[in-house]
Amino acid sequence: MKRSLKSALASLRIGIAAERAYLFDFVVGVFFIPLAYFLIEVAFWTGLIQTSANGALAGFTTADYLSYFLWLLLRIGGLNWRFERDMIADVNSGAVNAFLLRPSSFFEYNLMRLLGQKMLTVLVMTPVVVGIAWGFNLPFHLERLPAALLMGFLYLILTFSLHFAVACGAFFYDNVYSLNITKNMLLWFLTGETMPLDLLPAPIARVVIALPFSAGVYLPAAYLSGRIGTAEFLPGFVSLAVGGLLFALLARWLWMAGLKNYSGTGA
Amino acid sequence: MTRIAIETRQLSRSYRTQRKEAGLLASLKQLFKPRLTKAALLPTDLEIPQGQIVGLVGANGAGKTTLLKMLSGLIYPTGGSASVLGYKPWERRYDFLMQIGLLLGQKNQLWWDIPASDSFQLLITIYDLKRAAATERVRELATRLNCTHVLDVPLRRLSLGERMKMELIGCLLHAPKVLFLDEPTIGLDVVAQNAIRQFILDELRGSGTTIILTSHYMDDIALLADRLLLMSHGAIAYDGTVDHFVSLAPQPKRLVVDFMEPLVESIAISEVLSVPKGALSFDHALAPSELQNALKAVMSLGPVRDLKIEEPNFEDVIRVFFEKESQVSPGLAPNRNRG
Repeated sequence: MKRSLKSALASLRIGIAAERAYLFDFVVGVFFIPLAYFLIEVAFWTGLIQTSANGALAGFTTADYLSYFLWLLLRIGGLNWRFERDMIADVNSGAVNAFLLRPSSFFEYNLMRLLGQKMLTVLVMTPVVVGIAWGFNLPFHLERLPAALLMGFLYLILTFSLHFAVACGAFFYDNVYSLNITKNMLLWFLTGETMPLDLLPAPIARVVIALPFSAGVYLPAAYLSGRIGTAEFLPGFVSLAVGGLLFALLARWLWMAGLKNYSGTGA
Repeated sequence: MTRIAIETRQLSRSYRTQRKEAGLLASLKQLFKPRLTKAALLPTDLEIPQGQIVGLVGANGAGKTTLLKMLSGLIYPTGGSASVLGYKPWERRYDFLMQIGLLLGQKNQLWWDIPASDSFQLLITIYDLKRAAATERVRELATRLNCTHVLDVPLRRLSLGERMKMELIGCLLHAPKVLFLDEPTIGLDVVAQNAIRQFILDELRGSGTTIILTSHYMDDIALLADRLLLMSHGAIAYDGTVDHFVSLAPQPKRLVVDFMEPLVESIAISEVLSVPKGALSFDHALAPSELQNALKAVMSLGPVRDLKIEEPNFEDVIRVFFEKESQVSPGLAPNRNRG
């Protein structure tokens, strides 16, 4: 256990060191991509609400929507295409050999690398989020932030398992980049990143919100902005636990099956 | 009794592959064609005692890297069994991985984006080494390889030779009991090749480390290997010493003679070869069976200033062997020789 923790921390350190090597790309990925996502949503929803007669959509005002999309600035469980591309490329090119031949874990190394990156984003962007909410007088429940962040980080582990499972596809097919993009498009919708999930027709909304993906954006963002209460928020942890377990098992199964199929590319 | 470090029984590996002709139509047809099975390694029995350095030689596609990948646990076999230090390699148990090292000459195993010194710190953690002692060991190895000045430079900025030295340090840091070196000198200039070769010789020979070394440079094998395994078409075609392999070669030896004075008469060396009257020297390739008679004849001609018998060179013998093997159908396993 002690060795595993030491190894995880060392992986975290090396992940941060590797990101530091490409500082420009890292800064753009960590700070400007979230900002771009946020601004696109703000422009879209502001324009949409302006066309409505009563200045509200489904009972929520522009301020409510702005507050909801503030979560995108943190992007804890959000897409990181560069990171996922690297993981697929490691399997594709045989760089994964470095992990297979040592008492180390490819899963652990990449998870730690991602966690390091996300922690840095959250540390820098949380004051920005709070500052915008306060400065524009948006409906924002600061006391709910720790619970929302906890859900965000748990979702990150779930979604990482899913990314990992897709990367394992490279053991079977030469390229799985399209599969990765398809998965990301679906997640974009299923997390509530494109729109609050409660705007969907009621039967569909119930199903989609019950899925663990809603913990990526909808549940924490709606909880922070006051769109939902604690009673609707807490079940998200249950679906996260179930979904996390299922995806971790899927990732493990694909990893083991992939290794049996592996021809040691590049060795 | 010598302990066996590596043992295989009928170990084999085949790959599923597809042949595709050029063109769109061929691509569509390919969707309905069954995949072909290609044998990369035919059932192989092998025993390597602890501490032995084995040179694994073969043409491209002979099966040597496949064998290495299975013994290091990188890939699963499709048949047979193997034991390395008592472990099934492909199960990749923690204790097994702690005792092996694999250096791939054509693939980086240190982190590309960061300096080797950072990678070594991670390896120290991964292998649970004492930090102070291991850091000192890195320094010591880098000094011997004359590369301390690049320890703190990101790997991607290093030359191929410098990178290979870093990879070697990374491979040796945890003092593995079994080391797989897959073309450690490939692509390096002669100075770097020699430095790596000399380092392996000084550092590892006699250290008790069992080594399997593959290389296309026969100097590596001739200098370092206690034992030669020659692979051809997925099977071991020769298992013995380098010297014995060379002695088996049916290639001619070269007899070079300088006479003190011009020959007073012509003399027959063999059925088809004679030295003309007035000659001052003689330089011909002779079959081993002709050599004894030729020497007798030359010595009877008169005083000799210099006489040399040049043995066939290992590289030449291997080249001739590969040329012959390339003409054999891949489906046929060559006879296994032992020496």
